[in-house]
Amino acid sequence: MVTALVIAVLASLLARTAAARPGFGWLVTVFPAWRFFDRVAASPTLLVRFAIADGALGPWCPLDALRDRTPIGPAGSVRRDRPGLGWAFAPVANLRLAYHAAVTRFVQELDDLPAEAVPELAPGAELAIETDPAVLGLTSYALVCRIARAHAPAGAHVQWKIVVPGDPAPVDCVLSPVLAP
Amino acid sequence: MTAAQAVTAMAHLLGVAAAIAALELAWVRRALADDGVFAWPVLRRELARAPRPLRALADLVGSGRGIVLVIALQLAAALAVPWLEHPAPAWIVVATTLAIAFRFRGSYNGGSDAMLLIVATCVALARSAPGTAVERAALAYAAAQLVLSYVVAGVAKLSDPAWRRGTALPVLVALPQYRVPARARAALAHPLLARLAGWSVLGFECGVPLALLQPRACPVVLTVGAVFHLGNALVLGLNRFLWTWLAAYPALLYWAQQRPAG
Repeated sequence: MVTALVIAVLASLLARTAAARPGFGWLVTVFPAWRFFDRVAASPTLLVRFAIADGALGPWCPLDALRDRTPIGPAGSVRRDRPGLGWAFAPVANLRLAYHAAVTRFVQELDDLPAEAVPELAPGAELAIETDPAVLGLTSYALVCRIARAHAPAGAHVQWKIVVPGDPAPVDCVLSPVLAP
Repeated sequence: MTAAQAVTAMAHLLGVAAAIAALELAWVRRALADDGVFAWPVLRRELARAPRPLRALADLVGSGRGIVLVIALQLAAALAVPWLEHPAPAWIVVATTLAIAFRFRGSYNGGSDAMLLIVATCVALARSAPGTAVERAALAYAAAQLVLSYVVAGVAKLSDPAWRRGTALPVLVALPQYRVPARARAALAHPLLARLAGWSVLGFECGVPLALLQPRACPVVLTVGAVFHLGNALVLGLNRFLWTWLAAYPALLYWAQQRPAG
């Protein structure tokens, strides 16, 4: 039993290092770190706005306030936030958590980019539209674009931004170009 | 409890956990389609430098159609694993869980995928070599990971002043991604209750090793653990953690009984 404990700890430590490489993320599932909610704080938030036809872009909305266009479940099924059996079976809630994890991972990957790739935003300055190829080329960037698009009406122009916790107020982090339908 | 009984109990609970994981992914399968949010043509970019055979295999299981087959295979294996003593269904759960984790660049549902893989691996190894040291070692590994899952989480929380002050839980239940019911948020808005609940979590997580050191404490610790996970499922919506952690409990029960009560 003690040997098993030692092996589990060592494997977890080794996996941390290896999992940082692209394509090796699955190692954290094989050798998990088991840290849950150890730093409880607000996390990055994805905000989406859209324009239908040639209209102006609407207000920024968090995903929670928008309808996921991804057709979910059997045709015609009614989606509810926390159905009665949600403690046992929660496919939609877990999909939302996967969206959130993708957004959080994108922000982590931005932090890991070389400093010159992500210029600091001057206080009070408006966030510039993201154009850096190093950012646009990230798989996580593409995933966030798809998550945003899934929450806008079909055929709409979509723009998204990510807001990260800051002191004293949340700070804008990334602003996408307006994405064509 | 014998090692064989522990493995059988784990296999039954693994069946439930793996079936729920598969059914949940099947439910949202359109998000995994090649034009969905988690489209394989996007995710496969990370394999650009991988060897060609690995990319070919990944394309096979990661594509919109491939992942549906993987999910169906996991469901079939999950339904078979409690009833067939042959190790094949458990190994299929291992393979499909790994394939899903690989496709989602790590995991789809965080720690619950990891515990599902650990339990499935334990059952697969134990059934591949029943009555041998391999069976006992597999149970030891699952029990060790189970104890670590609580202790590491508890110790990590202890280092955060917010948890020690009892202010962490109200912040946690206010995070929008968990959609915590208003009644639970209101209850934890009371500082005394929040502090009590926070320290209960810390006390439980850090106290789990008692189950190994004092065999008579093991059933009590695991009962508290089951209530803890049920609470997490009801309040935070972490349903998969309930089933996968319960599936690992027989391994700890077995190993706790290997120490004489005193």
